[in-house]
Formats: sequence, C-alpha cells, structure tokens
Amino acid sequence: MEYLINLAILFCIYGMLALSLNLVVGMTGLLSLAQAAFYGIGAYACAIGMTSLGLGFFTTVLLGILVNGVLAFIVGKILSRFQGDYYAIVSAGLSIIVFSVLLNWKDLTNGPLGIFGISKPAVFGYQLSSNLAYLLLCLAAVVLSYFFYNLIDKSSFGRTLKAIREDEQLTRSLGYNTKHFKSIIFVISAVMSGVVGAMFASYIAFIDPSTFQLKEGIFLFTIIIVGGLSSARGSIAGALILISLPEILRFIGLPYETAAQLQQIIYGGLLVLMMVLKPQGLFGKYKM
Amino acid sequence: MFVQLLINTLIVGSGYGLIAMAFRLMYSVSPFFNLTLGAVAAIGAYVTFYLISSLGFNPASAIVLALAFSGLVAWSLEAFVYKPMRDNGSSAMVLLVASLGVYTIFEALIHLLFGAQYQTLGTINLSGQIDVWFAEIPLVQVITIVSNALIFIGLSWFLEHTFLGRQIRAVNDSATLSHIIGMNNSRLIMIVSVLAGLILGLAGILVGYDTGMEPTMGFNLLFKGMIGAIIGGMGSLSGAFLGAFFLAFAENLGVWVFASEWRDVVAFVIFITFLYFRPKGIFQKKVKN
Repeated sequence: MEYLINLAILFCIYGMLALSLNLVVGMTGLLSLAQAAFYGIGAYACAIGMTSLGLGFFTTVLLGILVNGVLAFIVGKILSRFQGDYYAIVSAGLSIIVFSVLLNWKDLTNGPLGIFGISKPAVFGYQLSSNLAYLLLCLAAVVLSYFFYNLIDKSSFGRTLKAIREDEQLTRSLGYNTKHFKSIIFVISAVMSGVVGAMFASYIAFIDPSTFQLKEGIFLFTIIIVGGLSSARGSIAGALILISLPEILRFIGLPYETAAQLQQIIYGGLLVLMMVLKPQGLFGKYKM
Repeated sequence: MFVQLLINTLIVGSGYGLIAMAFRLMYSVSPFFNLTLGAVAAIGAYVTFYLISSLGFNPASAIVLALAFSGLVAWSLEAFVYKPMRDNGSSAMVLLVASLGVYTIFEALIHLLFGAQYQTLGTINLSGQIDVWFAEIPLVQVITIVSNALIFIGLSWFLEHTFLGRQIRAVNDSATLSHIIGMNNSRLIMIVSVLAGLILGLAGILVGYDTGMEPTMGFNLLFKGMIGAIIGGMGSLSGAFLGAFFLAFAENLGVWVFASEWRDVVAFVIFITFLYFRPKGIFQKKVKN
C-alpha cells in the first residue's frame, strides 16, 4: 500500500511538472530543456527555508515563487532572442549552469551532500504526517493545475500563445507584443514547476543537486513528447506511462543498475519512435 | 603562469577543435544539432578500449578498427535514422529530439557494457613525454595538437580545392538550389557523416588516452565542441578551429580566476553571452545580401 501511495505521489509530481512544461513547449512552441532548473530552485528554496531559516512550508513556497519569478523573468528575456533548436541548446546550457551553482555554492546548498530533514507541511494547523494525507494534497494540486492549464488554454491569452507558436511574425504583425507573451508564459511555467519542487522536497525530506540535472529536464520533455504536446490530457497520460514503465522493469527483478540503464534505453527509444511516427505525441495537438 | 595558461589553451583547445570541426562539417550539410555526434566520439574511445583490454589487440590496429567502426556508426545513423526522417520532411527540432533519443540509448548501452567508472586507455604504451621549450607535454597531448592542426589544414584544403569540397559548400549555401541543379544531397551527407565520424572517433580515442573516459563523455565533449564552433562563427571551418581555442582560453582563465569546478559555468556563460550579443560568432564572415 505504501508503495502504491508513493507511486501515486510521484505520478502527481511529474504530472504537474509535465503540465507546466507543456505551457511553454506545447502551447507556445518553445523547446525548453531548462525546466529541471526551476524545479530544483523551488525545491532548494523549500529545503533551505524550512531547515536553515525555520520557515513554514507555505512561506517557503512563496519564497520559491519570488526567486523563480525573478530568475525566470531574466532567463526568459535571454531566451526570447532565440528560436527553434537554438532555443533548446541555450536552455540546456542554462540548466547546466543552475545545476553547477546548486552543486558548487556549498555555503548555501551544502553542495553534493544535499539537505536533510525537510519536514512535511502543516495545512491549517494540521500536520500532514502520513503519506496518504500528503497524497490528498498532491491530488488536489494536480486537479488544480489541470484546470489552470485548461483555463489558459481556453483564454484569449492562450490563443495568442498558440498563434505565436504557429507563426510568430504574423502574430507580431497583428500588433501583439510576442516577446511579452513568451516572457509571461515562461515565468508562469517556471513558478509552477518551482512550487512542485517545494512539494517534492517536502515529501522526499532529502534533496541533492543530482535530481535537478539536465537529464531530468530531458525526462520531463520526454513525458510531454510521448503524452502529447499542447494537451493537458497528454501531459497526465505521459506522466502515467513514463512513471509506471520502470516499475514494470522492477517487477521483472533486474539488478538496480541494469534496470536504470534499460529504463534510459526505453526512454531514448520512445523519443526516437515518437519522432518518427507521431511527433506530436499520443494526444498532442501541435507538431514540431 | 601565463605561459602555462597558453600551453593549457593549446592542449585543451586542440581537443575541442577536433569536435568543433566535425560538428561544423556535419552542420554545414545537415543543419540541426546532432547530439549523436557525441556518442560517436565515445564509441571510438570505448571500442578501442574493448579491443585492447578484452581482445588483446595491439594499440595501432585497435585504433584503426575503432576509427572504422566510428565511421560505420555515423554512416548507419545517417542512413537508417536521419535520412528517412529528413525525407519525411521532419523539422530541425524533430531531428534534434530524435538525436537526443539516440544519444540516450548509446550512453545507456555504454554504461551497461562498461560500467559507470572512469576508465583510461593511458596505461597502454602511449605515455612518455616530449620536452618542448621549458614545458613537458605528454606525448598524447602532442599528438592531439598535431592532429588537430593537420586535420584543420587538410579539411580546409579539401573544402576549398576538391570537387567534393565544393559540393559540400554548395549544399551549405543552399540545399534546395543544389538539389535543383541535380546534385545528390543525400549521398553527400552520407560521405560527410563518415568523415565527421572518423574525426570524432579520433577525438574520443585521444581523450581516452589523455584524461580517460566515462559513459557521459560524449555529451560533454560535444557540448564543448559545439560551443567552440558557434562562438567562432558557424560560417566557416576556421571559425570552428579558432573558436575552440578561444573557448579553451576563456575556460582556463576562468579556472585560474575562480576554481576548477566552475569550468562548465564559465563555458556556458561565454556561450550564451556570445549567442546573445554576437550570434554570428567572433570571426564572422561578411554576409552579403
């Protein structure tokens, strides 16, 4: 039972990350590989806030939102210069920079040793000590994120983003300040994944930089590619598929190291397969 | 101290230069960020390692076979993955993502077959050093410097003076136009793939002898080569050659000023700064309209 609850919580976390990334990659057509960086910054804001500063969970979430918001604004401004594959490479570079900072700024992040003893949040004075209670919080957050995604999707703001994705020059010629739109959605997406980072840190109780490498950003990217670009349903489906897949390998009883690499091979194979057969993903509405 | 910095720049830059030239060569006929190029370099190193340590080949024949294998891998990837996709009209982004998938598979395979630990080719016979001036440079680094220079000269001559080289430049200028006049672009891309594969394999083997190898080496090498090629300017081969040295100089300067763990940060900050302020590179060619 604990195993299933753990799996469900992980699934919620990746579902939300996929939703946040799909706002940028799917809806706006910006191929960002930097999502793991903001996820990590949110997680570290929570970890440092709760352990060193003794703040409450929700205060640290606000702290994470603030840090991520400012940083994403700057990063988004830099990235708005680039398009297509250059966008992907530069965002990958930014992700590597953030990872290096988390790893090497030892005074702040405790370096490769990571941060221990992050506690679970208290909601209205009620301490969420069991995993089941935490799962309920996560489920509520996923549902909220799902509706939030669809809210943007249906709004005129979302329609403008999709117009930018299809033809930025044309959209600009209609009088939209497209840089502005791209910057806003980038900040929203970064802040969202930062909040998920805080939830992850508080659930797992221990974080270190290795979780927030470029590899993680690529994994998130794989989720939405498989599930479907520009689709809330696709984001959730992708997370469900890619989180449960390695569990099947676990049941076959392979040694951990072998299973981990087989998992990578499957992820890579899925990426190639999707690109050859269905570049928009299972439920996708946008084809790169 | 400053002389040491320059020597380090020469050594590191020569390693990056090989990758940068292979990347730029490939990009000139097939313009997308092909991440599998990194895997090809890693394969060169690991195949050499396997042939020498497990099958007992002597280094010379192992290196020749490994180079041939790198070329073969580069060719098959082009023939069985990228060409069909390109024929289907896939965009550069789709090709980039596919190459990310292929790279992931290769890295995991290397990891499965050889383990995650550092391994080195260096114990085998290529040690010994050469006294240059007042510095002692290990033989393998001398070979790196020399082969980088030779390949640069050879490639420049090849691109400038041979029929094949002119064809490559024609495709670089306009793939559509060269297709219209009846050139076989796909065949040309195949040839360039093999050529790039050979250079990449060599780069991987040299790194394997010099600093050692690990499964993730391909990604790190390719990124450095790519940065070198881009900050030098993608318009020319000499841009890639010089850009690699520039990157190596900046990195070593950064390591000297800060500390060695900030090497990657320095590299990427330079990369992004350059793309932002000077997207055509330092040594940009005059673009005629």
